[in-house]
Parts: sequence; C-alpha cells; structure tokens
Amino acid sequence: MATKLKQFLGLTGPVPTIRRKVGEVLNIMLLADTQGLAVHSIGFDLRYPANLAYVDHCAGEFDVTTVNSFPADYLLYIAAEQNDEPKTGDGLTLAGVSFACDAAGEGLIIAIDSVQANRREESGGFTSLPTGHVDQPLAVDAVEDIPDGAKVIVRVVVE
Amino acid sequence: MNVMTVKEKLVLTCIGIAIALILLVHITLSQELVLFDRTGSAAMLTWTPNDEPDMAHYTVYTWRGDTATAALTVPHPAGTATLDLVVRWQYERIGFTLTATDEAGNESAHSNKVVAVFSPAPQLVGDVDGDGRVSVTDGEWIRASYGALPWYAGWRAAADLDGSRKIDVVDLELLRTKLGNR
Repeated sequence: MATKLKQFLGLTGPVPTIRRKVGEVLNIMLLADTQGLAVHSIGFDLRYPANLAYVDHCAGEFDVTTVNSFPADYLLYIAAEQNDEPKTGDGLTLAGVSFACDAAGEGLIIAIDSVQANRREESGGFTSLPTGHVDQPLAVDAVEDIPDGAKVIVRVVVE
Repeated sequence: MNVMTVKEKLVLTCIGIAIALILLVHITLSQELVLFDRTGSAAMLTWTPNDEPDMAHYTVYTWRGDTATAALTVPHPAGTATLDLVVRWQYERIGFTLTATDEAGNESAHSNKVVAVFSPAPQLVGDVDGDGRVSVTDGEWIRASYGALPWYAGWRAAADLDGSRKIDVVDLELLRTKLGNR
C-alpha cells in the first residue's frame, strides 16, 4: 500500500531536502501520478513539523482545490476535485502549499497513507479507486525514522 | 325499615363480585423505578423484581409530555433494562415508568416516573459514509445524490448538510469547509 501511495503521489525518488532560514517562506508543490486511472477527486492528509506554520495554498490542475488546516495537529487535508472530464496523468499538480518557517529545526512533510481517490460514473454513482485506506494519524518528528505507510514529500531544515 | 328489592340485591351482588374480581387481578408494583445511569441517548433503569408467583414480564414506558409509549418488554424476573432512545432535540426531557404483567395478561398500574434530560449524540457533519472522517469520498456521495428530495430513492439524510431537504451544490460547498474533520 505504501508503494502504491508513493507511486500515486508521484514522488518515488530520493527525499529532497530544502533549507530555509527562520522567517522565510517554504513553498511545496504536490504532484500526483494517477497510474493510468481516470480520477475525479483525490484527498489525503499532509502533516508537517511544528516549526512550520501553514500560510496559504494555490490550486493545481484540478478545477477545485481545497486545503483545510488543523493547526493544533500540524495537519492539512488536501482535496482536489475535477468537475467534468476526469484527470489522468503523471505529475498532475494537486496544490501548491506555503509554510512560514517560524523556528529553527528539522522535520518532514509527509502524506499519510490514507489517500482517497474517486471516479464518477455515468450512472450518477462513483467508484472509490484502490489507492489507499484510512489509517491512524502518524506523528511527525524531526529526528525519528519515516513512519510506515507515509510518503515523505520533503525534508525541511530551518536554520 | 327498608327492605331491599330483589333488583337492588342483584345489583349489590354484582358490584361485590366486580370488586372481588378487581382485587383478584390487581398486581402490586410497589418497587421504586430508578434511573441509575445514562450514556448519550441510552438509559439504564433498575427495579426490584416482583415476588408474585405468576409474574410474566415488565413493560418500560417512555413519556414525552403526557404521552406514554411502551418502549421495551423485559421478561420476569429481570430487574434492569437498557433503552436506546431516539432523542429528537437537545435537552429533551424523557420520563420512564414501569408496569408488571402476570401470565393472565393483567397489567399493574404504572410505577413512579423518573425523568431525565437527553441530547442527541454529536454528529460529524459531512461524514456521509460514516467512516469517521470528512473526505472527498463524502463529496462524491453528495454528488451521487444531487437533486434528491426526501422521497427520492437517492435521498441520503446525512448528505443534506444544510437541512434544506434538498441535496445540492450548497451541501457540497458546506462539505468543503469541513473536509478533513474527524
């Protein structure tokens, strides 16, 4: 499942590291590889370290991008929705997300293994695509190993 | 000196027989009904079982205002009952009484009434599929019921987020504000 998630989010290479100074802004772009599936909606949790603060987001290639912030848990729920024809592709942008680097420290921005993707059917219903499952929230700690079932988007070092 | 007529004697005899019959079938329920616990919309009641030999069952009644409804039947000699209540609004006052019924079907008078205040269990608004979180999949359930009114086959009460009795784009927009809640 973790492999599928990594494939789905389109970042299967080495984990990139980004360095920032306190007070700067970190922008990350979230990409998806639909693995050939036609997708109308994708949603997943994104956790980030406590020395960052969510600031804003911008939409990607889907018609509607929603980012809801749960600051106490350092958690974002990111949803991308397509109104008409579904999207298929590798490297589809889901959202751009900006964080303020509030304090020095090192941490990971990870997508939890609970990706949900759906394809609408002509009958009016929809099909949940086999891309993930609901999991317990995973802790994000700067010095711990990457939790099982999580896809690391980027390692952040704030100096 | 008054002399009773045959008709008067007959009437008095009938009254006497009726009183005797009432006394024969009367079931006492002197035990106190107690509400000993409640959790969310569940009520736990207790009482001391009747010691009459021909006791059959107990009936728990719920009272909303002056209207009583038989909610649960418990076989003798049980002394406890748990009710899952349908609580219709916040701080609803619901009363409980108990009756005992013997094997001949004679039901006692109602016990003392105990009253408690209940509120519906908190709901996760937007969790249409009931998986404990609000996600894009709930949005797809709303889309799948677009245009539905309560009497349509595709109606889903949990998808009517604004309570307008129509599932439409307003519900989807409301859901977007709640995405990620759990």
